[in-house]
Amino acid sequence: MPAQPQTAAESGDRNAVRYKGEAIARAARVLALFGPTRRERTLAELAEASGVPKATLRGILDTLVGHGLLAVDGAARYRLGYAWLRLGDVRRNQLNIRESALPVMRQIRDAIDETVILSLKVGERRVHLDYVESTQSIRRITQIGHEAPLHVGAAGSVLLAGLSEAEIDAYMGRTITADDARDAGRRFVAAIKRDGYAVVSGAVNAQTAAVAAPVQDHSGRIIAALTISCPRERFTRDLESRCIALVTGGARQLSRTLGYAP
Amino acid sequence: MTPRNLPLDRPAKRVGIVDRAASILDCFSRSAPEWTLPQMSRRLMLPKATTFRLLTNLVRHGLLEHNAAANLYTLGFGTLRLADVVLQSLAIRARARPAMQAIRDAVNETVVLSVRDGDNRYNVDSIESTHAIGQTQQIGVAIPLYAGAASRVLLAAMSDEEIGAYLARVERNAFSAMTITEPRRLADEIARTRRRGFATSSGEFTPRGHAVGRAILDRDGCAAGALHVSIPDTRFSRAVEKRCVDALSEGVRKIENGLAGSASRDVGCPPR
Repeated sequence: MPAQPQTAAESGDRNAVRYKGEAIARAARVLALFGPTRRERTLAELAEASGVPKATLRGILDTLVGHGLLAVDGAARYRLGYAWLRLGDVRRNQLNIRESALPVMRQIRDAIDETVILSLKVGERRVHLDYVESTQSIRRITQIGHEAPLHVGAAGSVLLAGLSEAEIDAYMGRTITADDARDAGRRFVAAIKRDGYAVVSGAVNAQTAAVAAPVQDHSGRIIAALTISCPRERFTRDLESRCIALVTGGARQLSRTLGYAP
Repeated sequence: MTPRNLPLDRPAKRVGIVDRAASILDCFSRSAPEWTLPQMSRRLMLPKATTFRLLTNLVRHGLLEHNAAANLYTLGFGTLRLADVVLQSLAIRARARPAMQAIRDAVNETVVLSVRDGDNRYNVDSIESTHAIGQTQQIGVAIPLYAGAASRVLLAAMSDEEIGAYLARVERNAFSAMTITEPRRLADEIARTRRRGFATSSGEFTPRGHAVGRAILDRDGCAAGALHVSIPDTRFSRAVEKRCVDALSEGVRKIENGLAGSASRDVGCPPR
């Protein structure tokens, strides 16, 4: 980092602190002006949208360009720089969904005393990444790494519902051969998209029932499923509605921890 | 016009405070993803109070996060959102994905998409092999155009005039004993790459890493990007290399056929 000469704003009084914050706030405001539909902007557009005077803005833009946070082409159009890919990659590497999920999973288990499972999509299968078990003597038992096709069971169905329509169609076409079963599968996925959760009884295992909800990341993508699973004999209407409330609330909480901002 | 990292008509004028805040972001990498206040203060050679104010401001704007319990600063979710904007604005990424997946499935080695920006190339997407051992591809890191297979195919897609200006302008440092830095040898390699349509490299940028690369050309003959397959030394053989070249060529042909029917072009891809 090049040593910069001290400016008046650096001398440390209260006004200086506010001034420093303001320059960074302005830079942050400028960066937020770029989006998927607004990938290139001129100095004039940025000045108008940010309310920062052009002379000041030039300095901020030059600085951000110098660090690769913005790039500018020969026609003086600015866009976000590739340095964000590097920073995003570093941040993504640190996302530890299992670690973030455990407190939420324990909280759900403590509230309802049924087994709570965290699952991911790996290829075209759902895989259990972790679970917190019920303390009741008759309880759902599972294993880390347990796999099933996506359309079998609550967790997999939630992950399937997170794919695009085209991907869902392609998956259904490849994996389910009977026409009526495929139609039923499509209707179920549509219902999950509408309701935000899936209830399945006796699919993976004849003796168990499960309620699952999607976990979303900062971009809104569905990256995991949170599931409460219990013996079917305990799965009354009342327990079902409590499971739905707990698992959707827990999934929302976990999504926020992972940067999801609806 | 080639995008550049400097405005054309005036000297760059930096704002000190923003410069320092950006320098903080520069410090974060895969090998140094967490920083304490004293570490950052030492690295920036700034007083702790100043560093603290900068960090706090970056936290306020979502670019950093502060874990109070561990007293550590990490990058914030804001960086992920901005990275997503960059990725979404790269039309070539969505177009290349299915072919990348097919290449990975065919050879089970890591497939990487990169694009050129000015004098550098950046990896922008990768699909990793399922082997336990493989080269991790750093995304978004500037890599010079003279080192490695993906760089060479992008260089070879430039006009002779552009290549000449590039070689005159850019200082070339060897990353390993294998890095080609002499202009004459580079010119030979560029000619060979143009003749064959692909490039191979061994340990030029990453020690003991092999790669085969191929440029993705749009209908104007402009490189919209490059794909390369990265093969670790332990699995490398001429036969493997040949299989990777075949899968890569087939995949790139599919992407190019898709591009031929489309007028959409990414920012930073100038006509030749």
